[in-house]
Amino acid sequence: VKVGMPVRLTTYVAGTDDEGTDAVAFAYEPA
Amino acid sequence: MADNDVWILGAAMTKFGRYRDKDVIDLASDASMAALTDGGVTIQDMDVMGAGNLMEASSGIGQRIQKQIGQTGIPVFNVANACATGATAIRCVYMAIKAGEADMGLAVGCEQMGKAGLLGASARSDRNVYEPSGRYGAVMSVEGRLGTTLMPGVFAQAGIEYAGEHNGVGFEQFAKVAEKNHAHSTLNPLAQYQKQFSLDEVMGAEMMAYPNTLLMCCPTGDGAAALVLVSESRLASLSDEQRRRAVKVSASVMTSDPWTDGDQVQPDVNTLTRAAADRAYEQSGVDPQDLDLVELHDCFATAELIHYDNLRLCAPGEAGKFIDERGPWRDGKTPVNVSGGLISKGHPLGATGVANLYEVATHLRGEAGDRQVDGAKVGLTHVIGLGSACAIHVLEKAAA
Repeated sequence: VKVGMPVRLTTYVAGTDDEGTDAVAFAYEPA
Repeated sequence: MADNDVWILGAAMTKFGRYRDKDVIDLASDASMAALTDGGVTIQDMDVMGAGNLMEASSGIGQRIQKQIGQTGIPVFNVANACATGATAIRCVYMAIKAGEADMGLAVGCEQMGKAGLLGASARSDRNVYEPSGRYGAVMSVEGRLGTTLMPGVFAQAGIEYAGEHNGVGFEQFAKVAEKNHAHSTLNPLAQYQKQFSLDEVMGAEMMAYPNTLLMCCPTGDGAAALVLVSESRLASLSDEQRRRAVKVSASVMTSDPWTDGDQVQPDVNTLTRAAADRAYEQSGVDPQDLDLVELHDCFATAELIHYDNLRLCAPGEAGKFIDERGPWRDGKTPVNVSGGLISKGHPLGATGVANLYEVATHLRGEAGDRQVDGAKVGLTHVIGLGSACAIHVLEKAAA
């Protein structure tokens, strides 16, 4: 990872609660 | 000069620090009374009052101050605008005078923070069952996952972004900003801290949010500052001494964020600063190269460095070179934050946007003691309240 590198928007599972529900968040990944 | 030009007649601030034996009203009253005395006037002369405070924003802070310094029935504007709160109080009085509704007014900014810790941080919870809440039905905070709104992170990222786009900017250049401001503060008896640190000590301190170490972050604290503003026509009726010490407000500008792509995710502290600077230079007719001193919003060392460029104090992209060549030191090309800045003078939120005008006005009057910038005739102040509000004032010494 470096400053200025091209990225694209994606989603990922940011966490799972005690009842097994996933929280989906946005993030960037290398393009 | 136009009849409705606005001047600073009185200016004062408390020493910034931690006051266990005073409350925020005590501090604000001390600063207000000192500013009135400094201007040779009383509360009876005031037509309007602007009062800035963030932590007790809904408490009628101005009216509570009036109960200590005099209830004369004048309109009070209580304002909160993040770290630009104090400057917003000034703007209320400034605009009232400009509009012809007032000849003279009091602007005060005050805050009592104590050891508030990291602002904006939330307590951890043991509960771990997601429940949609808020405007977007979020089940968890996006803080730190998609950008950050915590101050150290925002300004660290802004600095790193600048470093990535320009050569000659890195950890050492950012650290040099803090080295300078800590050194400057040793000459300011009103600063919260007056301790010098070497560059190695700054770089070796605990890392808060890269590249800002603990010594590159402003502290929390208590304090107040106040100004008495007066119209040109009213000033003409006052004594020779009052006119001699008066400082002209040549520009008073406030901006908020225009729409930019990145600002939807991460606060953009650059665009609104550049817009405010452009308008302030145009309004005052002052060129950035003519400035004798600048007090800018160094909440973090990274912030100060990028604002060298935003305020056109250096050639485009050359903020690193500017600090390497000691341009912003007190004996440099354009002294920046000779007060010690937020990093060492301190940053009681609501007071900051008034205290920086006090500092510049004091130099223009030739009354800054050991830290005096010799021959100072024109200076600039800048604050940013994240979220964002930016205020810039250009001040000029009265003609002899």
